[in-house]
Amino acid sequence: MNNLQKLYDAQEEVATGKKLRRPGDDPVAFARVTGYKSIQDAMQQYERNISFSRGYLAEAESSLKSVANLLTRAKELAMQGASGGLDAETLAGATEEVSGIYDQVLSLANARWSGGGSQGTRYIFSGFRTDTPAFSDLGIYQGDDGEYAVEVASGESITIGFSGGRVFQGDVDIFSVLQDLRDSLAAGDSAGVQATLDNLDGSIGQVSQHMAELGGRVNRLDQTEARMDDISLSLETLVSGEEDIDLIQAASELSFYQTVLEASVLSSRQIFQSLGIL
Amino acid sequence: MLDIGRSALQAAQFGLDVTGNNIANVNTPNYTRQRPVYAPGVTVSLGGGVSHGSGVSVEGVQRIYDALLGHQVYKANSEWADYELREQTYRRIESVLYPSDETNLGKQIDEFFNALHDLANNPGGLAERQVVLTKAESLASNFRNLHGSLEQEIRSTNTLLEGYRDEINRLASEIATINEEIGRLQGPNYTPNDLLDRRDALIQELSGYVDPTVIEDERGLVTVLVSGGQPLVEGTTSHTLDLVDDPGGGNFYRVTIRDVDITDSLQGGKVKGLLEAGEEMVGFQDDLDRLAATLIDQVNQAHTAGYDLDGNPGVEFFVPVDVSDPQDMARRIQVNISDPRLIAAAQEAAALPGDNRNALALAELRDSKVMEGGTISFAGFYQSLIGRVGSAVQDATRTGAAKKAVYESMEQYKDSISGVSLEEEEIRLLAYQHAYQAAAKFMSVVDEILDELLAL
Repeated sequence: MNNLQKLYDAQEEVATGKKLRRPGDDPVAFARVTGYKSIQDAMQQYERNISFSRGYLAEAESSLKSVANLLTRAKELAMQGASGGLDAETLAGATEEVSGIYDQVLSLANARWSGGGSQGTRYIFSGFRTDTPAFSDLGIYQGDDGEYAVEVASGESITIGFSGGRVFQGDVDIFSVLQDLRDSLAAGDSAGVQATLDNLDGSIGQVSQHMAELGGRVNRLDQTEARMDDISLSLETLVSGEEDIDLIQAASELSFYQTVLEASVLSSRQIFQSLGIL
Repeated sequence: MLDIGRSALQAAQFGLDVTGNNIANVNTPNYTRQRPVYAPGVTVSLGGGVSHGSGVSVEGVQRIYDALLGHQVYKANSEWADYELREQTYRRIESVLYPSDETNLGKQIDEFFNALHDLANNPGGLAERQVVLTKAESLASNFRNLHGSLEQEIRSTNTLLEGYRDEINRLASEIATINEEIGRLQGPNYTPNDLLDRRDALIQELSGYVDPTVIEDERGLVTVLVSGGQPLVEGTTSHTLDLVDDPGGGNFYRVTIRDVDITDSLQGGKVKGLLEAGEEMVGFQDDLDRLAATLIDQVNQAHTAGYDLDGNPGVEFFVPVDVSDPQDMARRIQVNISDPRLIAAAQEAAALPGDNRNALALAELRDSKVMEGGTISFAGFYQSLIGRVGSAVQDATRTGAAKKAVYESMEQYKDSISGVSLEEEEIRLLAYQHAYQAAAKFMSVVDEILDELLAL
């Protein structure tokens, strides 16, 4: 009878491909494997969090890059204007261009992103007030200073969000500076234009600094992801090692128990025959 | 001389009868083979210092039964029955508490926390909020189902015990009745072997339920003791095994005989197995309750610290309960929210809708060590519970297999001694046949001699 039970077990192993099917098979190993699988579940979620954050950071980076380019152009115009002696037509053109730069920077600061979830589009730079445009037309910040974070590993959070107040008005108020530049150009005030040059440098520097910070966050995501891939692989191996059968060994065990069963049926038949029953 | 011949014929005839009976009962379960018992007839003196025997007398029939071996078989059977029942019960619990990789409680806990992470990424999104509620509802429902299943098992323990009690008392009363018959029929020249076999069978059946010890008196009646010395049957009297409610307030009956509580000194049998498994199940249910209680408490604490989508302070996520007494928490756990807007993902009321800090705090509860005095997480606690269930199964299975092997080898050995071997009986048939023929030959010789005497 024991042999029959062993045969059933061997069949089940080969059919499921697993030698660890129920807690009672090997309680310590089973608890361990359940623990591994729980970590795997968590890591899948961390992967989603990371992927989501990459989306945000990509949008933010694209915005900031464009802002940096626009500010560089603004500085060129400022340098022209600071030297003085521009004719009225050139001045008017410069003023209009700076005005356009202001509008574009505003629009970039108020960039939106779908996020991939059901929240719908949200403003990237509004802090936590994601359904309010970050800046009013006059360059007043309407968001808050919240910078959202995600968990990317057990107990490890990364701040992802950038508050527009910090990025665009941290040390230097970029909108103010652009307004000053526009107004000075409009008035032909070359001294005034000159005065904005330092602030323009500051603005460009500020944006670069935040871009570097953003790059740092992306790096951290990359590193975390790489680490998780390694751990994930190790976990796969561990789980498989505990759970999966060695197919060749299991198949040969199955065949062994089948043979044993056949032999015992055969010998029973012989016994019965010798007793004259069969 | 005729008497000597006659006794020889009768003895041989008797031997043939006994052997024939053995052969006839070769397939009768519980049949113990029998041997005729002969003794030489009394020696008679012919005077002058000469004496000779007076033939053979049939003393009776011996039942080839080793009482010590019989006792070992009872004990082995009783111990095996105990563990077999434990194994069956624990295997059921195992599949209740861990039905599959996809649907077990631990997995659902993980999914609940994952949903909170998705919420943290989309605090303004209604779909993510709804998923949190759905996962929480599945989790709570699973807790309730598990509690219910364990509760059913625990209650059915007492019902099963009642059935065992009835069987035990029936067997005890039958043993007492057979004792009475044996007492009447047993004599110096007669042993009621079929009754003895039947009594043996009854005691063996009894050993599946409790742990009988058998003491035989000089009249052939037995006293059956259980649980380390409590008489269940004393000769022709059988006592009743009773079940009483636990005065200590426990879940299960206490087993008594004539008001003596014998529950804790049982050495084997299904009654013991059932009660042991029952206590373990109560332990598992308590663990579930503690897990539910801590989950409710921690989640509610974190949730009420935050603000919902409309800027209102978070209400209790689970229906509030007094978690200082975890009893029944797994049955009572219920989600308190049906409107997804009420989930408190934000930390500040003004920072909507993007403030996800409270959602993060809730999600991070997954890894916080809040169980067992701050040493283990929710999932870790569930895993250790599964480990305990698995150990119970493994232990009962292995011990049961060992006990079964002992029982089977005892049975086999007993069978080799007490069972009928057709070859042996055939040989004995030949022997008695020859003895009969020889005795008949002797009778005809005596007959001739007498004829000659009479013809003188």
